Amino acid sequence: MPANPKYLSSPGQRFLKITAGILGGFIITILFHNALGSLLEEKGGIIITSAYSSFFLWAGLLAIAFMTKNGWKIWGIYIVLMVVFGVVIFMNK
Amino acid sequence: MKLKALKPRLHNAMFHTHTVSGIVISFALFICFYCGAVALFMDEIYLWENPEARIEAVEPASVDYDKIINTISKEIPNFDTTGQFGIVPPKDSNPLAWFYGSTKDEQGNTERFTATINPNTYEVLSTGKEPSTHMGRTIYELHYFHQIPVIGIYLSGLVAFFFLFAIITGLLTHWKNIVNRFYAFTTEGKWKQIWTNGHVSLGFIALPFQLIYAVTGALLGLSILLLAPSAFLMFNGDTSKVIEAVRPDAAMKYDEDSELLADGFGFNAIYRDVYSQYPDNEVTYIYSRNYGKEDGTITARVDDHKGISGDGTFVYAYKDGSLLQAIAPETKPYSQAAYGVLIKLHYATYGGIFLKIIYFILAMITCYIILSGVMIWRTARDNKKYTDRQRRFHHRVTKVYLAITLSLFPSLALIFIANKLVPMELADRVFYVNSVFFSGWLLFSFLGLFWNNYRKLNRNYVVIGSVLGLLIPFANGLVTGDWFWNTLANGQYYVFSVDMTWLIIGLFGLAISLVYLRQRKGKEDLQIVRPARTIKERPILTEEPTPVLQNFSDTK
Repeated sequence: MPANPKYLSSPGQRFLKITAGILGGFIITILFHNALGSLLEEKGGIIITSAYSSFFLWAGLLAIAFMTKNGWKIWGIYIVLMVVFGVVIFMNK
Repeated sequence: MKLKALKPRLHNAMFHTHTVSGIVISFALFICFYCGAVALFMDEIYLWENPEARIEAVEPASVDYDKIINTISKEIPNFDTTGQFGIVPPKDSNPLAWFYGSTKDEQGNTERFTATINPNTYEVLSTGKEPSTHMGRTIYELHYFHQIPVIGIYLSGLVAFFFLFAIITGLLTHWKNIVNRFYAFTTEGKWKQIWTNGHVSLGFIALPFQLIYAVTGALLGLSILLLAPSAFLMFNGDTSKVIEAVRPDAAMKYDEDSELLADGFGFNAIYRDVYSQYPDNEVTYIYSRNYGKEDGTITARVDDHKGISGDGTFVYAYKDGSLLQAIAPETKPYSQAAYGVLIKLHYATYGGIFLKIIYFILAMITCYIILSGVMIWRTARDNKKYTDRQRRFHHRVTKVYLAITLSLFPSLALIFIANKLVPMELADRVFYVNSVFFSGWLLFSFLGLFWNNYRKLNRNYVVIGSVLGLLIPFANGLVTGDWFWNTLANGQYYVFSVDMTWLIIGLFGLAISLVYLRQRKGKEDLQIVRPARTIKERPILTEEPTPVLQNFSDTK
C-alpha cells in the first residue's frame, strides 16, 4: 500500500516544494523568531524559546510545503512571509 | 472510535514524505538511538570500564582540591594556570577526580589535557590527551557521528530534524488508525500487518519521548544554524551577546594582562561555600579562568539530579571570594533555566537510574519502530506491481539496513570484551579497542550481506551477540579478578550490574533464538514453504526466498 502516485507531484514541482520547505522554511523560522525578538526588550527569553520552537516551526513549514498543490504558490507565500518578518526586523533595528 | 482521516490527496502526500524521509534517515537514526541508549549509562559503566578506578569512594566534600591543583602543577610542566581548567569531583559511579586543563609552551601554543587523580592518595593516575579507557565515550561519540570529521555532529542534527519531520508526517499519515491499531498489536497474521500494527501502536506510545529527542537532538547538532543568524539579526553579529542572554557565566570577559595576585581564594573555599548552601546537591564541576590574577573567577556547577531544573551555576571572584553571579536552581529566570531543561531532557539526568532505564526501554522501542518502518516499506513493495529488478533492489536495501543496524548488538558486546582484553598498560590502547569495535562492526555487517533471509540474519546476530555478551563477565573476571560474585558480595554494584546485565542479555538472547529456531512453522510459513518431511531437507529450505518475499497480500 505505498502512496498512490496519482496524488504525488512531478519532479519539477517536487523540487520547488522541497526547496520551499527546507530553505524557505528555515529562513522564515529564523526571521519569525528574530522579528519577535526585535520587538522585545529582554531577548534572552526568545532566544532560548527558539531552541525549542524553531525546529517545530521549520518541520511544520516543510510539511505544509508538501501539502500544497502548487510549488510556485508556496514559494510565493513563503517569500511574502519572509518580507513581512524582514520588514519588522528592519523597522525595529 | 475512529479518528477522521485526511483527504486522499493530503494523506498520500504525507504518506509519501513520511516514507521517503523515514527510509533515508532510518539506519542513521537507529545508530543514534541504539548507541545513545547505551551512552545514557556512560557514567554508570565507568567503574566496569576502568579497573584502575575501582578504588574506595571518598566524600567529595573531604577532598583537598587545592592540593590536586598543586600536584598537577608539579607533575605537568607548562601547565597553564591562567587558562581555563577545572576539576570534576569524585562521585560514587566515578571515584576518581578528573582534571581538565591545558598546557602552554614558550611559543604560546596551547594543548588540552586530561588527568585522573586518586583522591585518597593524590596520586596522578593518568595524564595526556586521551584517557586510558574510552569505551563509553566511543559509544557516546558514535551516537552523534563524532567519528566523521567536522560534519558528523551536523549530520546527526539533520537526522534529528528529519526525524521530527517524519514524526509529524507519520502522525498525520496514521492518524485515523491510531486508536484501532493501538488495540491491534499482534505478533500473528500477515507480516505487513504485524509490522504496521507495531509501528503505529508503539510509535504512539513513544511519541512524547521521540519528540523530546527529535527537538533536543536537532538543537544540540544544529545550534549553529539558530545562533549565528540571531547574533547577526538581533545583536549586529555579536555572538557573545547571544550566549550572554542564555548563559551569562560563559560570556564573562577576562583581561589577559590583568595583574597577578598571589593569595586569592582557592577551590576548597569555594567548594565549601557552595556545599554549605546546597548540601543535598552534587558539585558536578568546579573550574576557574584567569586563576591567580586580579580578575580571575572560580565557578561551581551544582545539580540535584532530581528536578528538571535542579542545576545551578555560581561564579566567585578569585580576588576576594565574593559571589559575582548566581544562577541558583530555585530562583533562576526562564531564559537561564530553559537550556538546562533541554540538556536534562536529552541526558535523562533528572530522575535517577530508573528514569534512565525507562529512557533506555523507550529508545529500544524506537529502534523497533525504525526497523519496522523499513520492513513495512519493503513488504508493501513486494508484489507484482514492481518489476523483479525493483524488488531485488528493495530487498538489497533492506538487507543492508538490517545488517548495519542489527550488527551493532554483537559489536557492542565486542567493544566490552576488547576493553578488557587490550592490556591497560599498552600505549594507544584506546586506538586498538576502537579498531576492534569498528572493524568488528564492519565485518559483522559484511557477513550479514550473505544471509538472504531476514529471520536468519536477525537470529545470527542475536546468537553472536549473546555468545559474546556471555563472555563479557568472564573477560572482566579473568582480567581484573573482580568476578561478579565477588563484586556482588563486596557491594561494588556498578561493576556487578554491568556483568549481570550482559549475562542476562546473553542468556535471554540465546533462549529467544532457540525458541525462534524451533518456531519455523508459523502460519504463514506453511503457505509458502513446502512442509519439511525429514530433518535432512531443512538445509535446502533455508535457500528459499525470505518468507516475506512471497507473503504479499494486497490489502489497502
